[in-house]
Amino acid sequence: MGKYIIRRFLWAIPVLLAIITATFLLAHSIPGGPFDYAGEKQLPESVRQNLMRKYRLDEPIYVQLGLWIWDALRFDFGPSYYSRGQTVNDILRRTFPISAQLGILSLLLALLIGIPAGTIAAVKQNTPLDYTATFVAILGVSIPNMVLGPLLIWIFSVHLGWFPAARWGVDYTQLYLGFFPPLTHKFWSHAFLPMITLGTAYSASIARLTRASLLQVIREDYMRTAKAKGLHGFRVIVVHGLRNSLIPVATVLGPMFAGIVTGSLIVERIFGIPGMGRYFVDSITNRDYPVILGTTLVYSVLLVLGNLLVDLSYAWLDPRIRYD
Amino acid sequence: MFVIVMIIMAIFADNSIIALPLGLEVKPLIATKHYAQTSFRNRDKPPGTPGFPLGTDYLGRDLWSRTVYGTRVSLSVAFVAATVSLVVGLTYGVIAGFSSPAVDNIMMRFVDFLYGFPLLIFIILLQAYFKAVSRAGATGFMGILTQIDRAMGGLFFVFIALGLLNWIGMARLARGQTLSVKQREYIEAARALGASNLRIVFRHILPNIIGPCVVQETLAIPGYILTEAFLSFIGLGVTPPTPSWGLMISDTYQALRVYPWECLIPGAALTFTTLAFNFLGDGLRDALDPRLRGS
Repeated sequence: MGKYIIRRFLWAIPVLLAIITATFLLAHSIPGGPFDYAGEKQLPESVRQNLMRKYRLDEPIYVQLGLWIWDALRFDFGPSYYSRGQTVNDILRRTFPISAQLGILSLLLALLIGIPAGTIAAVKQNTPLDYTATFVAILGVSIPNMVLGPLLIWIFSVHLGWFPAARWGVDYTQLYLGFFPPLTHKFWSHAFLPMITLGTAYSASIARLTRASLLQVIREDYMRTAKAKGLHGFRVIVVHGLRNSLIPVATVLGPMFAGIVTGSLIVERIFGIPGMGRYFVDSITNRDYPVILGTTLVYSVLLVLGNLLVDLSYAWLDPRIRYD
Repeated sequence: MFVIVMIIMAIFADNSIIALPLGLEVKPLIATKHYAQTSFRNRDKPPGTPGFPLGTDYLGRDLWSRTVYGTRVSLSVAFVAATVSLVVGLTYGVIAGFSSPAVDNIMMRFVDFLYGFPLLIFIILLQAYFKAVSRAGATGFMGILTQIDRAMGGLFFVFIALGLLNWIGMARLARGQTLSVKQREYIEAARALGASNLRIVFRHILPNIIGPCVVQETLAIPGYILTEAFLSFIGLGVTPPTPSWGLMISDTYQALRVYPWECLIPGAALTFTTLAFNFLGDGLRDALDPRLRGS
C-alpha cells in the first residue's frame, strides 16, 4: 500500500510538469501581452518594453518557464501583472478558502442526499417511492446550475425573501482549519442557495449511480447468505450491500471533483461570491501569466490528489481489491 | 413492469428529440423575427406583449425567436461534438485494442496521461487563443479557420475545442470492448477463413462494439451542450449576437430581480433539452444493455 502511494506521487510529478508546460506554452502563444493596455489607453512602446524587462518577459520562453517553476518549487508563484501590488499567493490565500468552503459543502450535500436517496430507491424498487426518486434524480441531473441558480434566487430571494442573494464570504476574518468561518446562522443563510445550486446535480447523479449499482449487488450470493444468517434487513443492505455498491460512486467522484470547480465558476458569478473561479477566466483574458499558472497548478494538484483518494478508497470499500 | 416504463421513457425521449430538430427545420416559420433584430422602443417587455410572445430582452430582441434559434446552436454542438468524439475515440480505441500489447500499452498510457489533465482549463485557453487570433486577423491556415468561424457565428472553434478534448473516454471504452470481442470464437473463425485484419475490424469487431459506444456517446451529449453553454456564459463561446442559451443567461441574470423572464426562458429551454437527451440516453441504454432488462 505504502509503495503504491509513493509510486502514484512520483507519477504525479511528470503529469504536473506537463500540465504546467502545456498551460504555459498555450498561454504565451495567445496573441497580445499583459501590458498592451492601461485601462482603455494603449501604453507607449518604450514603457511596455521596460515593463516586459522588469518582469523578465523578454527572456526566451524556456528561461521564463524555468524561472517560474524554480519559484513555484518554493511556493512563490510570482506577482500578478493585472492586480498590481498583489502576488498570486495573496490572491490564492484570499480566494481559495471561500471556493473550498463552497466545494466541500456541496460535495458533502451531494453525498448526504445522493447515497441515502439511491439506497432507498433501490431497496424499494418499482414502488412509487422509487419512481419519484428516479424522476427527481433525472430532473436534478438535467437542470444546469446556471439555470438553477437564477431560479432559486428568483424564488427564495426575490419572491420569498428567505435568503440573501449575494455577499457570501465577505467579512470573515477568522477561519477554522484554514477553510471555515464560524458556522453561524448568517453563514448558513448565505451559503444555503449556492450550496444547493452546486450540489443538486451531483447528488442526483450519485443517487442514480447508487441505485443502479446497489440493484446489481442486491442479487449477489453473499447478500442472500447474509440474509440467511438472519441478519436484520437494514444491516444487510448498509453493511454488506452499500459498501460494495459505492465503487462506481467513488469512480465518478474524481471527475465530479473537477466538475465542482467548473460549477463553482458559474455559481460564484451568479451569487457574487469572491472566490477563485473568477481568476481562472479573468487571468486568461488579461494575459496575467502568473495567475493563470498559479490557479491551474492549484486545480491540477487537487485533481491529482482527488484521483489518488478515489483509487485508495476502492481498497477500503471492497477489501478484495489490493494494491501491491 | 420496468420494460413498460422504459418504453414510455424511450418514446417520450424520441418525441422530444424529434420535436427539437423539427423546430430546427421549420425555424423560419416558427421564429417570427431575426434573432439579432433590435427594437429600441420595445426593450424589456414582459411575455405576452403583442408581437413578442415571450417578451423581449434588454436590446428589444424577441426572446421567442432567440430561444428558438438557440436550439440550433445547442443541437449542432451536441451532434457535431458527439460525432467527432465518437469517430476519433472509436478509431483510437479500436486501433489500440486490436494492435499488439506493446502498442496498446503505449497508446493507453498516453490516454491515461491526458486523463489527468484539467481539460476545462485547456478548453478555456484554446478558446481564448482562437478568439485572440481571430481578433488579431490571422493569415494562412488560421485565416481560413477564422473565416469559417466568423461565418458560423463563433461556433466552429467551439466544435474544435470540444472535439479535440472529449474523445478520451470513448477511446477507453472502445479499447475495452475491442479487447473483449477480440477473443471470441467468431473472430478466430473469420481469421481461419483467411479474412484480412481490415475485414475483421469492419465486419466483425465494429458492429459488435458500436452499441455500447453509441449509448455512451448519447449519455455524453448533455455534457457537450452544457459545456457550450458554460463557454458562452463566461464569454468564450459563440460570438454575439449569435443566440446561445448560455450567452442569453449570462447577459440577463443580473437583471433577474426586474426582468426574470429574460433569464428563465432560455434556462427552461436548456433544461428541457438536456432532460430530453438524458431520457434518450437512458432509454437507449436500457434497450441495448441486456443486463438491466426485465428487472
